[in-house]
Amino acid sequence: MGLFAEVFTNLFSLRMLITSLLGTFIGIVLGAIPGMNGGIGIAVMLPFTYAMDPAQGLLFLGGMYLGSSYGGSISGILINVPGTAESACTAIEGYPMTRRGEGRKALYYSIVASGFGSIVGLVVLVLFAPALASLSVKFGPPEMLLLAICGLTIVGSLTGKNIVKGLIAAAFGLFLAMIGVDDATGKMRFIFGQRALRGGIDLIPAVIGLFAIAEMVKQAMKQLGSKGEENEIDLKKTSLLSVVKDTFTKHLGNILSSSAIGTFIGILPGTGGAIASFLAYGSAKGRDKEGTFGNGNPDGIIAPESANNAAVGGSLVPMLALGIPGSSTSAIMFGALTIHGLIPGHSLFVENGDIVYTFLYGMFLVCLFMILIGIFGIPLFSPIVKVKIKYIIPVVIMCSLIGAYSVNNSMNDVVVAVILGLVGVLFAKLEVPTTPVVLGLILGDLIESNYVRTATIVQAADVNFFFYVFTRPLCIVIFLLTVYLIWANIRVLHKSKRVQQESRIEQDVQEE
Amino acid sequence: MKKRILSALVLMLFAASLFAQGAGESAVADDYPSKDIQCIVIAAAGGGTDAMARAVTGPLEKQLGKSIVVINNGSAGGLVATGDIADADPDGYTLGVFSNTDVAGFAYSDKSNGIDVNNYTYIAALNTTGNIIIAKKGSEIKDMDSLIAYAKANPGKLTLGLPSATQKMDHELVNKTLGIDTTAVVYSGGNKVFADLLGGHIEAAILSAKFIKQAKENGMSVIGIMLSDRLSTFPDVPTFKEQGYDINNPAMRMLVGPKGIPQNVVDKLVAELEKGYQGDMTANISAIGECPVLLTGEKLQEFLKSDFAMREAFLSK
Repeated sequence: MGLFAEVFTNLFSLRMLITSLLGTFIGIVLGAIPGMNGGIGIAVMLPFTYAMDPAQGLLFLGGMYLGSSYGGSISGILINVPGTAESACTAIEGYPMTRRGEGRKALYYSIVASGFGSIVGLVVLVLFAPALASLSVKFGPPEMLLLAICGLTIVGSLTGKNIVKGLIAAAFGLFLAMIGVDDATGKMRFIFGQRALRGGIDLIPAVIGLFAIAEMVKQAMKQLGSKGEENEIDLKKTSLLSVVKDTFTKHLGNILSSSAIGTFIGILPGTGGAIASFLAYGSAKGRDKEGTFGNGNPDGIIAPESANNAAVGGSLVPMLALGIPGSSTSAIMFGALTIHGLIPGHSLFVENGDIVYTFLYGMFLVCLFMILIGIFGIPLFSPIVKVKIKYIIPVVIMCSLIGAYSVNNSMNDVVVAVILGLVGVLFAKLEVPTTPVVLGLILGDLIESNYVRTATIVQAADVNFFFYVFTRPLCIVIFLLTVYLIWANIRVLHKSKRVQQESRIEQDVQEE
Repeated sequence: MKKRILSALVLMLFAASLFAQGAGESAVADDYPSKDIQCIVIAAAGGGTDAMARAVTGPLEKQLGKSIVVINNGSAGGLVATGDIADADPDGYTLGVFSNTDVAGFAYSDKSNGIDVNNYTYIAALNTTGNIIIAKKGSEIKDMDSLIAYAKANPGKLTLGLPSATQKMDHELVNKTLGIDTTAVVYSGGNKVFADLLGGHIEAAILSAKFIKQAKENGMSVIGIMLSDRLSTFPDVPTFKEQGYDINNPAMRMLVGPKGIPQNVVDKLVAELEKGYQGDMTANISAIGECPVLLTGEKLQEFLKSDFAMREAFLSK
């Protein structure tokens, strides 16, 4: 009990409370600003934590991590500009709700789901970290290869009526992932003599370009076309209680399974919240019975938001238990630990239990702060939908360019963001969805590098590729999951087509 | 109307490129430093290279009385930032931190990288470390002898994880010196290699010395370090050399700048580093588990000359 008494007195000191509150607040704000995100914030703030004691510094960074995972949904829902790749799916369902006047409701769903997901991820982290960490390393190159391919099946869920256009977009994303240094050989590919492309296409400038810049340009073009008239967007009052009630009755299965998906994906090294939210969204859509996804279905907010926040706790599992960060953001937190001379791993729990447990229990406090800031913040930031778009456009563009710059402190990324912004506009004109591009970009590297590794290992072992892959139980499980997801997607596609046809017939009947 | 938006975007691109070219006036070297210095670190914040850079720049900025702004750019494994350092004005106000293995890897593995080792002023080497070979837990490989025996019994079947394509030289050195045939599995980052080693998907790996503690904690065998002397931070890890295989492949992180920094600026920085290594810097570097070594002037140039020659011979085949 001595340790816990120490942990709790430590945790509830004013210093700790202020640090975690501040971290969470900054995280939410950074997540919500298009172009900014938690990873950038954590990298920028990292040097400040060197002066703090380890647990305090970790909680500050942890607050930013958790907060930004939620914050990205705010701008996605309200102005259709997902602040992070993780909230790309949230915007697909959230923005239509805002247009219907249900912006507040969408935001409540988002914070409730984010809060619940966070708690699930953290509970798993606290209770099962060592056991799950040893499971996570069972995922070797062949498993990661199949998992990434499985992730690609989500394309179907991200696409409207025209699956071919979705596939084109995903293929474009996969192509973008090939630009730059080939990891396996160290050679350059597809840089067309442009030094700016040597670094390849980073995810953040791509998200900024395809979502933020493209959306703002589209809005500007719409404005010019409509000669300054704006469609007034309504902002209906919603009760938080009814949303909470709905979430845990109607959407209970969804929030539970999405949180589980998020935690699990987070645990796997080299993945992260974005893949978690895509997979959760895809599987939620696969269970959709009415074919209403894409038009503002709350399930499509709950799934990605609970998943990406659950992934936070998940990604800390291998980091703390094994010293292997599960995501790029937790990699920075790993750095924050090592700077204090602490090497994450089993001995950290034994030798520095006070630090680890202060951090772990502190994360629940962070989660509470996030929920409170989220709930009380909604009336404050939801009126942004009433702000004239001509005032929003320059602000978003400016934040986007700064955000793109700050990824690597490099103008190259700014240029990439602007060019992809134009690509995004072009895609919109051709009615090609842009979300699959991001999916392709995220998964392209995972697929390729793990394919090369698997192939190398197979060659060394001198066995057949398929024999090697399909004699591994986890591979078979993932393969079956992939088949199921494809089947579910086809089913949903048929259903939504039928729903559309029926509604068209109804319309025709009414018109007659 | 649409044209207007397009032209605005083109202007934006143009402004962006101007920004990138932003020329700094060269200051008089005598009163160096008269303004803040930027230090380009070729790795993301939070990693080992970043920690190393900050361990030195922290005390250095206090000594110089001007801020040193650390700029992290880990794009393409540091390749982009390595190029940026060469392109900066050689006035001493843009410095950088990378290691001999980074710059030689970029320069010699692919000419289209546009990196040339002669485009830099090498001010000082800050620390030294080396790569180790670790075998997975439960492997037949426990030490040098069993490593060689296993590899000889299974030619081409021993999988060795590498943190990046740049380490292919270490792999070739091991194959050649030990007279064995192993298969390299290339990753992007030491953490991923370590994860797959933990999962038993690869038999062994070449990793940086910073993984020694984690490796031992997880029951893995550390075969040896590829240096001519043991590291003071890990005195119980034997070298390859003392086990009869002469591989000396040190990785030294260095404070560098673009080619042509005035000698008096270099001298000033070296003098301050020498002062710093008497106190804070050494303490900071030791605190992050690295082995502080300050190598400057003639000694550094000599080391680099032979080191780059060795790497060129291996990598530009």
